Amino acid sequence: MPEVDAVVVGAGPAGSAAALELARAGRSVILLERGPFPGSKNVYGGVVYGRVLDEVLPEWWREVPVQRWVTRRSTMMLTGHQALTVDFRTEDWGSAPYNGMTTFRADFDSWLAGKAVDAGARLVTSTVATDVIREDGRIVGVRTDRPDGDIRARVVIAADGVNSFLAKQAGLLPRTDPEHQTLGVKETLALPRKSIEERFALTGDHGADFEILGCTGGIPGGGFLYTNRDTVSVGVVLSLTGLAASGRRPEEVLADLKAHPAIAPYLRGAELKEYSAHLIPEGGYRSMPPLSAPGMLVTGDAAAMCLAAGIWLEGVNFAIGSGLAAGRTAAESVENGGGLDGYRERLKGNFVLADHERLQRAPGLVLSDRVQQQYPKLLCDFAQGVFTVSNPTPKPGLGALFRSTAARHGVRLRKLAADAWTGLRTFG
Amino acid sequence: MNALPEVLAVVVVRDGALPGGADETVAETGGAVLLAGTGTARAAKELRTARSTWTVESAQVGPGSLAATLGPLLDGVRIVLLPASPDGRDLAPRLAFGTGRTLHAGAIRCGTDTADLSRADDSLEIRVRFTGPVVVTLTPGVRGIGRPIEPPEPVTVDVTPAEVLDAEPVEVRAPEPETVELTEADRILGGGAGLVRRGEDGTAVMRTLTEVAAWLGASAGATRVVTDAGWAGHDRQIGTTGVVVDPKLYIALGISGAAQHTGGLGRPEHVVSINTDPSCPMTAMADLGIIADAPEVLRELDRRRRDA
Amino acid sequence: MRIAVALSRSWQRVEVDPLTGALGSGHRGESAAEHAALEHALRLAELTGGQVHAITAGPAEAEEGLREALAAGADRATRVDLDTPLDPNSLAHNGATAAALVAALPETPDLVLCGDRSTDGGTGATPALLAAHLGAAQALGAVDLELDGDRLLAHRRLDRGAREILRLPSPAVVSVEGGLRLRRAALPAVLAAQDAEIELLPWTAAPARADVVSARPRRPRAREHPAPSGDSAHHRVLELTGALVERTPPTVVGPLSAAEAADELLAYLRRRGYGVRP
Ligand SMILES: Cc1cc2nc3c(=O)[nH]c(=O)nc-3n(C[C@H](O)[C@H](O)[C@H](O)COP(=O)(O)OP(=O)(O)OC[C@H]3O[C@@H](n4cnc5c(N)ncnc54)[C@H](O)[C@@H]3O)c2cc1C
Ligand SMILES: Cc1cc2nc3c(=O)[nH]c(=O)nc-3n(C[C@H](O)[C@H](O)[C@H](O)COP(=O)(O)OP(=O)(O)OC[C@H]3O[C@@H](n4cnc5c(N)ncnc54)[C@H](O)[C@@H]3O)c2cc1C
Ligand SMILES: Nc1ncnc2c1ncn2[C@@H]1O[C@H](COP(=O)(O)O)[C@@H](O)[C@H]1O
Repeated sequence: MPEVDAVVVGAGPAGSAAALELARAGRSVILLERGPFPGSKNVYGGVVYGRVLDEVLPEWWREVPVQRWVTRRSTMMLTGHQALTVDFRTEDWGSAPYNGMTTFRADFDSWLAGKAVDAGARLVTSTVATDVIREDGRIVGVRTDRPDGDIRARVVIAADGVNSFLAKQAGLLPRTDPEHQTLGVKETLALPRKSIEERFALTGDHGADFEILGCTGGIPGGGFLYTNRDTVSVGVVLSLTGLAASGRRPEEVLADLKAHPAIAPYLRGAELKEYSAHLIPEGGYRSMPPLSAPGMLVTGDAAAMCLAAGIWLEGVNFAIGSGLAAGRTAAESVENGGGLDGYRERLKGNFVLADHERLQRAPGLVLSDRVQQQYPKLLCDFAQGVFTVSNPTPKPGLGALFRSTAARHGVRLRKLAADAWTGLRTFG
Repeated sequence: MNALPEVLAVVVVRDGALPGGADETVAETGGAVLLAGTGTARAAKELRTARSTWTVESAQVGPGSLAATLGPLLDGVRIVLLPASPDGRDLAPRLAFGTGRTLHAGAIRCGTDTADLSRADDSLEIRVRFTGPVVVTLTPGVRGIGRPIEPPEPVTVDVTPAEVLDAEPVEVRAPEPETVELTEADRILGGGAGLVRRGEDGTAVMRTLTEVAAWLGASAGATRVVTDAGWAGHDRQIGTTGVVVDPKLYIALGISGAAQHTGGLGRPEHVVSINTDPSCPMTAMADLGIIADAPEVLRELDRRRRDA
Repeated sequence: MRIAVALSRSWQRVEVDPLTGALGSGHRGESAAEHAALEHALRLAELTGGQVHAITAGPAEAEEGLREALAAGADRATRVDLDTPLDPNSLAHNGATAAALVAALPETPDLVLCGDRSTDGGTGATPALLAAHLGAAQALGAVDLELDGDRLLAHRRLDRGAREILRLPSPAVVSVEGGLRLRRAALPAVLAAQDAEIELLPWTAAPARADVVSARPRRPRAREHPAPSGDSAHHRVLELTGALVERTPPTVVGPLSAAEAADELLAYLRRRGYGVRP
């Protein structure tokens, strides 16, 4: 039976980052991936925030497989027939050291796993971890679906994504947890490069990232629209319980978003290339499982590290950040025989848990009925009121207009102020 | 013996039978063909596009020996065109190698100075220019043959057979109808989306269709809806992006008759459409439209097949 | 039996722009047929106490396929260093790689197994060219292989679904269709294969490049039909559109029950001379 210092299950961003750290520390590590190559099975929206990669490779932007560098971020609020957009763009993000990029997971995950392999990790693809091996209450390895497939390891790192099978086997995750998961569905649509640049007002390798509220037909969630080189990704993220209660199919919700008058012009004539769906752990800080068991660390989506709070949808960077921390902890533990407890401290010391702690109220707020439904309607109607020229009636005062619009939507100003305050404390 | 022309089709004949795509290949060269193999004189009479025919009777159809035998005859021939049938595909590379020619395999069109090659799962067409003498293989079923003409009297060419190491033929087994390549089938049963009920195992339905087809001496084909769903292999897909067929009889079960499907159907003499929709294009173009539930009809035919 | 197996790890599922014919991304891998060839090779080696030598002509990426072969049980692996980029020139190829593959075989093996066709060029010419180079017998498009004493029998497709059975001498080149699944390699073997040595042979011969004029999306070719013979242009047009053809008006019957429909169909076939089982 192969014996190694560490076995990492899942060559997603979390697993590859963990394997990279272990290999760099001179530890023997096997990285298992069930797909034929890393990223082959992975679904996500399309934007990776790169700062965390500074820890992986200096000047990573020179070689990372990028589609477009995000220089434009828009947050849209939609109602059935209206749209209010806060549009931000900066040239600063269009040059080194960059901020965010659109990239394909097949390319990105392969690239990151390649870094781990270059550092000495052994990547074994087309191989599924089917169980953990225990001895005296401690996890000492994993079982795989290959003949003679057991591997002994001093540390097992579960990086197998949302709904982690390994974390469940280890008893760290409940069997099912629909409350704290959302479903992401996404379409990749082909458009000529030139059309993308004209429609989204982009040049060269710059890209746009739209986050959308109020587009999910009453089901708690949000939408996104990202530009790649010659495709765009459009998708919705939906609360599982809300979806079940609505009786609708996720592809219908997505079809409605695509047909919205504010979105359709971006997509006109585009050809569907791919449809995919995947779960997202969305509970945030409050729903994180214990992060370790004797002999095992849990990282990335497996540990619900994805930061999904409405206008934030950051999973890959959190997966990498937590993966690096898991790898470092495991390497140290192997080196000096210590336990794995340092993992949580390490995560708290960097952005991963710090951000999660700070944003712990965000999922509740963003998925609340007010933010989902009332506020987009209120703000859109208010904007419409402001911009509608009502001659010969004189223009209303803005304060009065806001109060009357709010009243019409049943929004109590006190609640609004409270949410604003929560929002400020959460996001500010 | 007449000198062989600059552009010549070479067709391997077994027991007097022409391979699929023979006439198309001959038509593509403008009518000049050399038949090689067994029963060539008989096969010469079956040609519908030849204007001049040469025959080389050779007991040996092993590609190594046949290439060595024919090679010296082809000195003055600039373009040698073979059908991409099993024997043509066997012989073409050996001929090219033996005579130092460039091989352009899998063409869908062969001109006097260029050939169009189909690549990347038939989604790409690459035109190559000839820079010297060439051997080209033409995919059967891509061109049709136009108006048939009376076959000319063949000119027999005597050769000294060359001996080269070849595999030893043990036996030729008669075709099982269901494995007849669709392109060559003269009876086809086509299955469409209407043949598979929601939630049913489409693969099993297509297996039944294949068995019923075999019982009727036919091959099973399918629409893209069926092949895309993985219920049948893509080699079964009939249509503009699938296989182009030319059967005498086509029986469509649960097929709407989209242009992309019928575009690959050739000109069957007899068409039957079994469909619940009396006004769908497939039924409109059929000689016999049967308004019935296709899955049920298939099941009934299968029952009778078993009882037979 | 000394067996070589040729794994092309060629481009798969190449995206072609339906308007311009521009080639999009593709990825490399063996075809199901090549995996079947490898599995046949491993089985024959087990049965005859032979050795399996996996060879490829391609860039460094192609070594991944060789490592898979080693993990599955091949004894030796050789790569001939040949660039095969995803461009019309490479795709037009017609076994130009055969010469390079021969370089990987300093001694002619008893049997060379190939896939029926690679996934990019896809014409299946390479095995026949290999046979020509090696002076070997060939059997292309085999659907079944069996050992008959110490000789190999190959079942291959002929026209119209006939099967030919060939007894193969040594040396021979056989290409097989997919169908036989490659065994799953054991985990220790996968790990060992990652460190195994792969012989690398340089290849400097100028590649036989096709003179490519253009690359376009494939469109079905217009099929030729007999020219209309009518004596006025009007008649010829009518003829072309089929308006003059005497046709029994279509009969539409039903709705019918399944049994009635089956009767109707079988009676029609009998009338038209399509008996059951000709
Ligand atoms: C629709 C959608 C949109 C999103 N958009 C974004 C976005 O724009 N930006 C962003 O940063 N994040 C986004 N995310 C979140 C992001 O995708 C995840 O947070 C991130 O992929 C987590 O990385 P990971 O390595 O933890 O897990 P994963 O990426 O899920 O990787 C897990 C890996 O483990 C493998 N595996 C699983 N089980 C086994 C097993 N038993 N044996 C072997 N291997 C196994 C899998 O094949 C996979 O490769 C989105 C998610 C969704 C669903
Ligand atoms: C670029 C392009 C290329 C294409 N190439 C091809 C191609 O090569 N080949 C191809 O086939 N298609 C091709 N298509 C797809 C083509 O346009 C059609 O979508 C397809 O042929 C329809 O297949 P169908 O008749 O099985 O399904 P449908 O169009 O869905 O028809 C199903 C039929 O079944 C009938 N039906 C339903 N229930 C029953 C029942 N219980 N009993 C009997 N009848 C029933 C319905 O009335 C209907 O007529 C292509 C499309 C595009 C865009
Ligand atoms: N570059 C290559 N390296 C190894 N084997 C090859 C190569 N090209 C073709 N072959 C073999 O020849 C078979 C037919 O390929 P092709 O002639 O390209 O259709 C493949 O399935 C392989 O077994």
